[in-house]
Order: sequence, then C-alpha cells, then structure tokens
Amino acid sequence: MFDLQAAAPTPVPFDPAAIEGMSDAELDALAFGVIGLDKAGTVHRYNLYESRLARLDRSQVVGRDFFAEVARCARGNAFEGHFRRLVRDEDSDPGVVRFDFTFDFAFGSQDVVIEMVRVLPARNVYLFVNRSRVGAPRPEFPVEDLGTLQAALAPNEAALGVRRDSLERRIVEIEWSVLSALRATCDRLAPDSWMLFCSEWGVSWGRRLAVDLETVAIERHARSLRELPMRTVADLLSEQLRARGWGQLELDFSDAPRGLLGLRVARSALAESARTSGRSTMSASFACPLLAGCLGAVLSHVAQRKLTVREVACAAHGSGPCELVAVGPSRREAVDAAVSNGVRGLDNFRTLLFGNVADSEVGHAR
Amino acid sequence: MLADRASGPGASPSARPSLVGLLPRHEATPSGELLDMVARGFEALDPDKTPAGEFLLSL
Repeated sequence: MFDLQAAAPTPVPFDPAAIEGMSDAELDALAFGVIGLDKAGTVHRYNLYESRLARLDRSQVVGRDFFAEVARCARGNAFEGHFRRLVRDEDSDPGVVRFDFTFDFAFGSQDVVIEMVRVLPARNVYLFVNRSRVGAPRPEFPVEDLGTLQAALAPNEAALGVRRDSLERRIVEIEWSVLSALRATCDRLAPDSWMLFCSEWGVSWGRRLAVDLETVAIERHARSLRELPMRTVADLLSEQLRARGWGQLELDFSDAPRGLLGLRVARSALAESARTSGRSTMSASFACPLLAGCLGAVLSHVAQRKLTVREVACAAHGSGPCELVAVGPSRREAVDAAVSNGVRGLDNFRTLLFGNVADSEVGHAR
Repeated sequence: MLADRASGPGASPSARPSLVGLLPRHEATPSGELLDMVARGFEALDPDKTPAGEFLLSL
C-alpha cells in the first residue's frame, strides 16, 4: 500500500522575517494579501489572495510600477508616502509601519490594514494587506484614481485565447474526457504511485481553494472562515465545488463529537470519469485522491492543524456517492489501516472506530 | 486631493491582529464556551453555531 503520509496537508506557517525566502506557493497559501516592491516601487511578488481581491492577474502585475500602473488609489501621502519614507530612511528602525487605508476599485471599496516592512539586505519592501471589509464602491471617490482593472493591464485578451471568470481569474475549460485520459495515463505509467501524486496535487489545490474561500468569507461575512459557523463553511465549500463542476459535497456532522467528520460527494467528476464503461481497464482503487487531498487541505487550513481526509467508498466502483472521512492525527493510522484491510463505506468506519462503545466512553484525543 | 485623503475609516490603525508584530498579536485564546466544550467532550458541538475553527478541534 502506498503511503499517503507525505501528502497529509499541513498548515503553512508564516514568518515575516523569512518572507524573501518564501516560494510563490507558500505565499499563495496565506490568507492575506502580500505585495513585494523593490525600492522603486516595482512589483516583484504578488500572492493569490491579493490577486483575487484586487481582481488582477499576477502575471500581468509583476514588473509594473505599483503606484503608477497597478494601484493608483494608493498614490499620495496616506499610502505611497509611507513607502517613500521607508525607502528613503534606510537606517530607520524598525523599518516597519502600520496604517489603515481604503482601496477603491470600480467594483468596490475595501477597508484594509497595511503593514509595510522593509526587508534586509535587499531593502525590498513588503506590504501585508489585512482586509476588514469588502463593500460597494464609494461614489465620492474620483474615477480617475480608482485601482487599475485587469482589462486595462491586458486589453483584448479574449482574442488571444485567454478566458477569465467574473473575478478576472484565468480559467481553462476542459471536458470530462480530459480527466478520464489523465486517470488512464496515471494507471498505465504509475500504477503504484499515481494516488500519492494526485493526493499531493490535491493538497496544493486545496491550499489555494482555502484562500479563495477566505476571500468569499471576507466579502460576504467580513469574517475569516475560522470565525464562521461550521455549517456556513461547509456550505461555502460545497457551493464552490458545485459551481466548478466537481459534484455535490455534503458534510455529515453526526460523528464530529466522537472525532470523525463524514463527507459525501455525489456525481463526482473524478469518479464518473473513471467509470466510463462496464469494462474499464482502470485499477479497482479509489478515484478521488485529488479531491481527498484538496478537502484535507481546506479543513486543515480552517482547523489550523493537520487533518486527514481519506476516501472510503468510491462511486467509480459502485453506486451512490463517494464517501470520505476526515480525522485528526490520533485516528489517521486506524483509518489508513482499515482502508488497507478493505474496509469500505462510512457506516463500516463508524462501526470500526466506535463499535459498541457508549458515546460517553469514547475518547476525544486530538 | 489624494495626498491629504483620509486613510480609512479610523484615525488610528484598527485592532485587527498584527501580521508582522508591530502590535501584539491577538493570539487565538480558547473562549469560555470552548473550554466548556472540551470539558464536556464536544457533545455540545452545534454546526449551526460553533465557529468552524473550534468545531474542528473535535477531530
């Protein structure tokens, strides 16, 4: 049995002092905006959260003058002035400034707390953008000073084969047959390791999806995911997956007090792409490690600790929805062992984990 | 005039958690409700009310 331990999602820590050494993927897992500027004000880092809420594609932002080309609403003493002083007074201590600001875009205004840090030795300046409210446009704000729109940075993209959704994220439309072809290729070339590969891919995807959910949470509720009721978070997650065509996710909370979260995915795109006919050549293993990794990363992000999601029943090899379980570290080995021993189905896992032990006697180890 | 424009809703930086340590971080501290929940073994979990961060502590 392959070992999915390496694919277990771990919340990414954040150390501002180490920002220069962080990869783009690590910055993209942060639930606040990060903008890196050189001394001239040219953008050299721009993370996913900032890209999503500013509705600008990182590929079009990096290399541009932040104040002249990207965020005209930040020109002036109230924002740009802090940056210029931080750059000019190179020996000032501690090289950090914090202030409130409001970003104004054509699509809305955003109240933020800016933390601006000068990083040695390159003396680049990083902006950490912590949003507290996303709302309607301020009608009194001068139109000519609004933040730049994606269409202005890269006009006529549609003619160049670039598609974007309503939030200016670049999207690619693929048919289900592409997923089926991918699965078949995995089975042929890496029959023993493709699940680990897909699980890792899912974790990486899930970290980005979690950031996307955070932006929705701040837009709709002015709160982080952790602060919202569990069912609201589950509904947001389900809504996002459904809207993107991955199927219908439902969370079963009934065993949460005993340490297990049940998840069901009806009409899973992954499972159905692996069940194209009654004579599939694909291996009789699970079809959704990609989704399991993704869900594990999202739940770990919300929990701020490592949680594991394992598929325990697959619609590719039967009827009904795919079933998965989410558990903490104390139950992970038991779940993995059960999967290896052929235990299938959410109900069987309940029996395995809880047996006939009375609720009051069940431990709650974390 | 942009140069003199008010910088946000308040005169001073808001009380949101600091990301870089300019102000003391508002570390997540267990609420009284959460401590009660731990003591009672999470039976009181309510997905419609319990914050997700606390709810997932049960796993």
